[in-house]
Amino acid sequence: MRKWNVVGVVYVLALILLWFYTGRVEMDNRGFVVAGYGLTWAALLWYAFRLESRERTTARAVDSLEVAGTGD
Amino acid sequence: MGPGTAIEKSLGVAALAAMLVGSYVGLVVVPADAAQGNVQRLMYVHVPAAWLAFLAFFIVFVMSVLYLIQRDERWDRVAASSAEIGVVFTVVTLLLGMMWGKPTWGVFWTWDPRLTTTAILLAIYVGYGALRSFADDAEQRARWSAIVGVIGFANVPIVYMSVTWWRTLHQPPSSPRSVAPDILWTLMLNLGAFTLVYAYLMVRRIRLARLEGELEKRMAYNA
Repeated sequence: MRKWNVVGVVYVLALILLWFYTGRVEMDNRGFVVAGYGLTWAALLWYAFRLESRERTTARAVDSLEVAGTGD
Repeated sequence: MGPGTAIEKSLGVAALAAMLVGSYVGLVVVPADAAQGNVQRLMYVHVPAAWLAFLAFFIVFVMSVLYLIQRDERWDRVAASSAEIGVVFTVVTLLLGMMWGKPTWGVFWTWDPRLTTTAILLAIYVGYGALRSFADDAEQRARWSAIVGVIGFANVPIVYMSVTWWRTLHQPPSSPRSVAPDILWTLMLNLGAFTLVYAYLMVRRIRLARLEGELEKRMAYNA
């Protein structure tokens, strides 16, 4: 979980950096460009995070049933 | 990174590195398009996302056919995993298209044939996922999903050809002859990066599907 907190912080910092960079080079339509790249990264990172979280929850449920099954 | 193998972790690192390089080149290195300006940089993520969505749904199609022939639950797991990842890429494609459409066409959304057929594509595979959550019996779920996976794929060539069949707002498909070399190689670089991301997510999602199948079996046994 701490790994994903770090990823989240790095993501926000990168987005801020990109915003200032696009401003410094006077990029036209920079709002759409930054939002587009930001959204792509957010979607992929979010999905990877969700997969890890779902896997952890499911593995825990499998283990708990294994323990319950041992007593039968 | 979870209980993955060294190969899986290497794949994850390679995908992350390739995405970082691809985004850097697309945003900083390659010059802005002469006609559209900087907003064209969205092409380097929009087009690979669309191609990977097509690839993901093609895998669903192939695995669905294999399931219907062999009735092996492994094919069903791969198909379900690929469909879910395909939905993620389709959502990204549509949202990026809206970001690109507003400054280019003046609107976020219009009922252009490419946009409409892509929205239908998304609805088909969201429906595929919903169908899977409704069916309790694993064999029935796999069979129904495989049928939707085969029929639903018919929309993919329609989405691809829509810009040729109905010439409206959306630009025609890009080809090596129609784009400048620096645009082409940046596009290919990002396509490679997205393919690595797809491969990594597939490895993770298939492992989760295997676990979910195991949980389902144990729950049925304990009931």
